[in-house]
Amino acid sequence: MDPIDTKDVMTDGTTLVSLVYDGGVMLGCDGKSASAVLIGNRMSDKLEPLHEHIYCQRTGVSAHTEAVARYARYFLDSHCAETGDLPLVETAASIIQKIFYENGKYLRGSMLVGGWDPVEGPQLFDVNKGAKISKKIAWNGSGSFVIIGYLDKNFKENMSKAEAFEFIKEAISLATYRDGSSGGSIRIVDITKDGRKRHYIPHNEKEIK
Amino acid sequence: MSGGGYDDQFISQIEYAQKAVEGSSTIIGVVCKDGVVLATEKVMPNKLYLPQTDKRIYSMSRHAGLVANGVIPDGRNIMYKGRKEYKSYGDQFGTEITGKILAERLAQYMHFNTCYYGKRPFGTSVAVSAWDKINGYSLHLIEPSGDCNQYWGCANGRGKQTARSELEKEEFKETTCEDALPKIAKILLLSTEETKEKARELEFSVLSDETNHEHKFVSAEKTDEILQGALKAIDEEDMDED
Repeated sequence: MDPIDTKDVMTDGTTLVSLVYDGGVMLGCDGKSASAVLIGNRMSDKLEPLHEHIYCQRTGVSAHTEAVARYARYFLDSHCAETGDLPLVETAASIIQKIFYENGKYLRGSMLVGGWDPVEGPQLFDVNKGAKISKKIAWNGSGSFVIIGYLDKNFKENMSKAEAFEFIKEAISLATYRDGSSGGSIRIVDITKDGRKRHYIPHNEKEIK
Repeated sequence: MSGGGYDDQFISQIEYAQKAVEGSSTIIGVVCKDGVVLATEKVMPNKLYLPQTDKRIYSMSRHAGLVANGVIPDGRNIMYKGRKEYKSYGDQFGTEITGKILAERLAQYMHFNTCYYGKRPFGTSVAVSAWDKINGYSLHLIEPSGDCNQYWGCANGRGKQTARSELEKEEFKETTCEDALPKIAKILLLSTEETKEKARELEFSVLSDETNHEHKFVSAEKTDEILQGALKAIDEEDMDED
C-alpha cells in the first residue's frame, strides 16, 4: 500500500452556507481543515473579519485564502482612511475579486463576502476569480453540494434571526454527516447594523432532525 | 527671494496663479433642492469666433462635472486627471468614486504641482459637481494652491465678490435647478458688469434628479433664452431705479 501523503497542502474541504435574513446577514461554516486524508485542524476558523461589519469565508487552500484575506483587510483599511466612512460590502468583494483575478494562476480558492453597510444594508457576495455575484443565499465548498436539495427546499427570503440560525446549523450538520471533507464544529457569525456576534457549536452539539 | 521663494508667508508662484484666476471668467456652482448647477460666462474675444465652441464645463464621469476658469488648458488637464481617477477608483473598488474623494484627489494633484522645482502651479480654479449614492449631491471648489472646500454655493473669477454676495441673498436650497438657472444667469451678468458692452456667452450644466443624477449640459438654444431673459430682467430693474 502506498504510504499516506502527509505533504499535501492544507485545504478547507469546506461547507459554507451564508444567507441574508431580515435585518442582517449570517455566515456559517464547518471546522475541518485537512491535508489529503490527514485532518490538520478540526476546529479551524474559516470566518475572517475584513472590517467592523464585513466578514469573508474561505474555501480552498488555507494558506492562499488566508493571505488574500490579509491583503484585502489591508486594502480595505487604507480605503477607509481615505473615505473616513464605513466601507461598502461591494467594495470589499471587489478588492478580493481583483486579487483573485490578478493572481489567479497561483491561487486555489474562492470566498463568500458578507456584511452590512449604511448604504445598501445587509448583503452577500459570491466571489471567485471570474465574478462577484450578489446573492440572498450562497454556498461553497465540497460539503455544500450534498445539501443543495435541503437549501433549495428550506430557504426563504426574509427569515427571522432564529430561523436563519437553525437553518444554517442544520444545513452544516447535514453536510458534515455526509461529506468526508467537512466536519468538526460549526462557527456562525451574525452581522447586523449594531455589530457582529459570533456563535460556536461544538461537534457533539450538532443535530439532525 | 524671488521666483520660487516665500515672501512674507506667501509663495509668489501661487500668488501669480491666483492672479490669473482673478482676472478671468466668473465661475459659479450652486447646490439646489434637487441637484447641482455649474455655470460660467465668457466674453467673445472677437467677432470671428464661432459661438458655442471653447467650452469651459466638462464631464468627468456620468455623475461628475467640472467648470474651469483662468488658464483653460490647465483646467482641461485637471479634467483629464479627474477622468483617470474616476476610472482607477472604479477598477479598484468596484463602486463609483464619491464627489468628496474625487475633489480631494484633484486638489492633491494641484497642490503637488506647487511643491516641486520644475513644476508650476495650475493657473486655474475648478468647481466640481458630483452625485454619488453615499453622500448624494456635492459641490467643491479647488483653488490653484490646492485648497479644496465644499460649498452650497461658490464663485470664483473676476466677479467673485459680487457673485458671492448675490448667492448669499438667494435661497437656492428651496429652489429646483430649473428655476435656479435664470437667477444664476442674472448673478453672472451682474458680477461682470464692466464687460456688459461686449458680446457675452453663458454656459450651464445641470446634475439633478431630473437628469437621472447625470451631468448634462444645458442646450445652446435654452442657454440663449436664459441669457436674453436675464438681460431683459436687468434692464427692467435699471429702468425702475431711474
